Amino acid sequence: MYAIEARGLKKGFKNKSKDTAETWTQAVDGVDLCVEEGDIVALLGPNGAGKTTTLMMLLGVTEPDEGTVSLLGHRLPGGRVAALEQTNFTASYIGLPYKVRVREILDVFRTLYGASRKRTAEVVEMLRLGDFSERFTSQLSSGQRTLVGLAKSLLSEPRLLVLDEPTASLDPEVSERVRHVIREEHARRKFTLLVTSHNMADIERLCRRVVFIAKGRIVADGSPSEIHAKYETTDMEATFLKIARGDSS
Amino acid sequence: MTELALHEVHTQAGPRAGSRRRMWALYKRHAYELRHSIPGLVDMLFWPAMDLVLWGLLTRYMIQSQVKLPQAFGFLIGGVLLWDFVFRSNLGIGITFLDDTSWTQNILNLMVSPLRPGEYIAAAAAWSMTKVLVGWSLMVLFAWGVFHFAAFHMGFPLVLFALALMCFGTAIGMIVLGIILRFGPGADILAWGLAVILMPISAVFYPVSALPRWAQVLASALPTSHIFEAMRTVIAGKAVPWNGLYAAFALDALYLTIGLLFARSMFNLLKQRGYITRYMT
Repeated sequence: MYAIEARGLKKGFKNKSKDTAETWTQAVDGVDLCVEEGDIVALLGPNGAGKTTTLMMLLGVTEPDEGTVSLLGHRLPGGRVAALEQTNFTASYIGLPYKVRVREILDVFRTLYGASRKRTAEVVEMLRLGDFSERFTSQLSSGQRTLVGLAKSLLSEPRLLVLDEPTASLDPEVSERVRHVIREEHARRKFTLLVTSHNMADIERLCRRVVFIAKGRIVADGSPSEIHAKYETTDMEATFLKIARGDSS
Repeated sequence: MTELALHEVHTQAGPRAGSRRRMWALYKRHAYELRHSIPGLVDMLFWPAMDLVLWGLLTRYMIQSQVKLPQAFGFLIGGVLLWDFVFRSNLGIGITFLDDTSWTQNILNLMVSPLRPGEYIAAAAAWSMTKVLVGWSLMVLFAWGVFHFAAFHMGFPLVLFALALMCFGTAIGMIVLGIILRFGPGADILAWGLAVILMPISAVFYPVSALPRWAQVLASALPTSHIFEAMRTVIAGKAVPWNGLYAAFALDALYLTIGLLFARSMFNLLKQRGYITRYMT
C-alpha cells in the first residue's frame, strides 16, 4: 500500500493588487506522487517551485483544484481524521502557543494525538529537550523551537511523517543529532518520511529517493545516484543548481 | 504489536472518545496559558469589575439625585452582569482563534492534526464558558458586597438567561471567526466590536419600548432583547415571561446555525484559496 498516493494535483492562485491587473500563478501543475510505506523520500526544488503547496494539499490543509490525495489508504477529504491520526508534520515556519512551557505544550499535543506520557519522556530524552522543558516557548531560540516542533511530530509515533525544512534553523551539531534521531526512529518504527530541505547534506544522508519539482511539475524522480546520472553531476547540490537554472537535461 | 494494529486498537475506542480527547487537549492548552498569563487573568476579572463599579456608582448617583427609575439598581447592575455573558462568550471564541492565527501561528499544527473544526469551536466555547462563569461568580459576589444587589435572587431563570446569552455570544464568536478566516488578521477589531454594535438594540439597560420603532423591529430579532426584558420582569417581581424565553432560545438556535454554517464556509474558502500561507512566516 502507498503511504501517499497523489494523482494529478493542480493548484493555482489569483494574484491581485491595487496597481496591477489580476494574474494567475499555477503553483502546482499536475503532480503525481506515490510513496511506498516505509520509504524515505525528499521533495526538492527551488523557492516557489510548489513544494509547500504540494505538502499542504497532501495534508488536506489546502484543497487541490484538480486531482486526488490518499494518505495511508484514506482518501481526502473524507478520510482526513483517520489519515491524520497516523500522520504528523512539522516545519520551521510553524508557531507554537507562547505563554506555555515546553513541557506543557508537549502534554497538549500528547493528549491531542492520544500518545502516552512514557512516549513523551522518550522523545524529550531523544532530542535532549530536558534542559529547556520548563521554559516558555516564547523564551526559546529558533533552533530550540524547531526541536520542540520535531518532538511534537514524533510523539504520536506516526506511520507517516512529513517534515518541511526540519533543520533550517539548526547549527551543524544539532542538525546531525536530528538526522541521527530520525534515522534511529525510522529504523525502529519503519514509518514513511517525506522531507523537504535546502540542505543537500540532509538529503544525501537520509533519503533513498529524491523527487525534484520545478515550476509546479515533477522534473526528476529516482534514487540520488539515478538523479546524478541523469543530470551528469556528482552531488545533490550541483543537481539542484542545474534544475534551479532550468537545465532540463 | 504493529503500528497498524495499534491504530486499530486506538480507533476501537470510538470516534467519540477521540473527539473528547482532542477537545480536552485544547481545553488544557487554554488552562496552561491562563495559568501563566497575568493579562489573561486581568482580562477575566479586572475589566468586568471595573464595569460594575462604573455602573454601580452611576446608579447610586441617580438614586441620590432622586431620578425616577423603577428598580434602578436591579435593572442597571443586572444589565451589566448579564451582558458580560454575551461579551465574554463572543470574545472567548474570537480571541482563541486570533491567538492561534495572528498571534502565535499555531493554527497549522492544529490543521495537520485530526482535530475537526467543530471540536475546535466546542473546546473554545467550553473554555470561554469556564472563564465567564469564574469571572461572573466573582462579579456577582462583588455586586452583592458593594452594591447589595443579589443577582441570584432571580432564581432558576438566571440560569436560563445565562445560557441563552452565552449561546448568542458563541454565535457571534463564530461569525467573527468566519470573518477573520476570510479577511485575515486585519479583521481583528471585530473580535471586540461586533457584540458591542448589537448592544444598543439589545435593550440591556432600558426597555425595548424606549427604542425608536425601526429599532424595536430589529430588537425583536435578537435573543438578547428578549432576555433583558425578561430579566427586568423577574427583578420587578413579576412572573417569568416564558414566551420571551422561548423566543430567545429559538433565535439562539437560528443564530448558532447561521454562525456554524458561516464559519464552516469560510474555513472551506481558506482551504480552497490557500489562505493558510498568511500564517506561515
